[in-house]
Amino acid sequence: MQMAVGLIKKSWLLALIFLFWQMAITFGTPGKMTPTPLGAGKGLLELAQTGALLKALIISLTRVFWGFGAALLLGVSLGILMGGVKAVERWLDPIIESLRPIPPIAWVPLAIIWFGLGDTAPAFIVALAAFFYILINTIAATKNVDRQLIEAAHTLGASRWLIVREVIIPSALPLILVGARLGMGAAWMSIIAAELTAGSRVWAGQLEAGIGELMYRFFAYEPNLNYVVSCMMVIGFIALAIDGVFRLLRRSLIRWRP
Amino acid sequence: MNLLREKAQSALSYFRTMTLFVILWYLLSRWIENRLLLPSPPEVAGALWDLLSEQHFLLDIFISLKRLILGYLVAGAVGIPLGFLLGLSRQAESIVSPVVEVLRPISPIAWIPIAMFLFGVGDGLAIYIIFYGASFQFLLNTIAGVKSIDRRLFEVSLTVGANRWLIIRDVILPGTLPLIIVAGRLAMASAWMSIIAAELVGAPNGLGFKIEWAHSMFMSESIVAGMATIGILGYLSDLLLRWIGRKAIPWRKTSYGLG
Repeated sequence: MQMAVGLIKKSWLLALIFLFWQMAITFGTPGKMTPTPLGAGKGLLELAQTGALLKALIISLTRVFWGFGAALLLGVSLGILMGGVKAVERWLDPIIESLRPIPPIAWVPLAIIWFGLGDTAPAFIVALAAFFYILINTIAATKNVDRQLIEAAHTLGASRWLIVREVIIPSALPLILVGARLGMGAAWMSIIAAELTAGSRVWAGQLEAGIGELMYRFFAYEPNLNYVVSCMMVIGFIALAIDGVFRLLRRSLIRWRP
Repeated sequence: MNLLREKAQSALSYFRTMTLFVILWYLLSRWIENRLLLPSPPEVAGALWDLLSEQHFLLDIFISLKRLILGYLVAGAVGIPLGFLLGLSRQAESIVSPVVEVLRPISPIAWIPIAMFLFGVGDGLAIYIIFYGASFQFLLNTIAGVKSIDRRLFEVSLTVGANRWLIIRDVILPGTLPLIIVAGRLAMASAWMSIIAAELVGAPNGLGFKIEWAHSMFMSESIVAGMATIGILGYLSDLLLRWIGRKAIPWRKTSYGLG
């Protein structure tokens, strides 16, 4: 009972907004296409039932997985290198800083030309988006590692590889995880953007569709704005789930830091 | 004097790396020999020159910047005051926060179809998407900024007999300012992403549209030229915000946020 009361107290404004929205549509004179909360909820169930939602989610998440994985691998290794070796940073920094201001979505036309319409292009955009966050945080994390720990390990005769594995990576892990979490957030946003902008071309060819492309389909090809809102809800939910996973990850990986 | 030398050194290393990059790019483009796949540096430079001398492109730049600035300023005008309110009043926060938490995970770009339905194609759509994304940055960071102020400063100022207006002006505002500046830069980054995405899909003009147009004409060199323009403008806008940040917070020597 206590929990229910708490829940009501927290969400009454939200419920009010939904109610108002539904009422405005039901009693007003909107176009036939206007989405409603009930319609969107119903759409969610329908989409889930036909399996279209699940299929699209799997496709999108797979692309994110590959893109983020590549970004993580490249970003962490390059980050440690650039953070640890001043010369590398001095050489690479200008090109990194020149590419970084370009929004990942601006790469979509080029990516489609390079990789065609399929999984690689969205994964590439995801990798771009996540890479910069991961890189910058890893560089900062590596620079923050206590010099004395490195020197101590050196004195004890540790090889360079051992130092990286046992000193640098554990010390840098908290900030690297921050970069990973930010990168993941950017990754999920970018996949939606990339799939949405590619949507117009994908449906011409009936290729594999992620959730962004699905949303575009329900806007342009088989207009159903309720389905569009359903997709938006799913997108938001996945974003929260991803963030939750990362928080769990942080707690389990960094047990020695409060 | 030392500062000048440092700047000269960083400019030198910038030129060094970029020259190497352009050379490698040129060699790669000659090896691939496919203008569509990888336009060479001279081709991109030529495309950039052509675009810049064409009035239409300058108009596109102006339109994009106009939408960007409008959306950004409105986002600040809404996000910052609301952030102050929610940061200072526990009650207000508990009422509004569930709505914010539900909307926050939905990225601004996911709103494009609905926004297109509501606003049609063009200015309204772009400004809404920019506003949506940027206002969250302003809101959340201002709340964090307000909450980061040491509570004891409040108590001290009350003890000294300051009235509410004085507290707002001399404690709350300066204390929140650093994070508002951070918010400004994050909001700008979000705004750039929003405008390009919105224009790629839903605008008959603007920079994003230009890139997509070049794409449909298979003019890769123009695509890259457009991307470079966006990158330069994005970099300049961040530079501007960093400068504003330094002027607004002269008492802080350390740089906040994204460094």
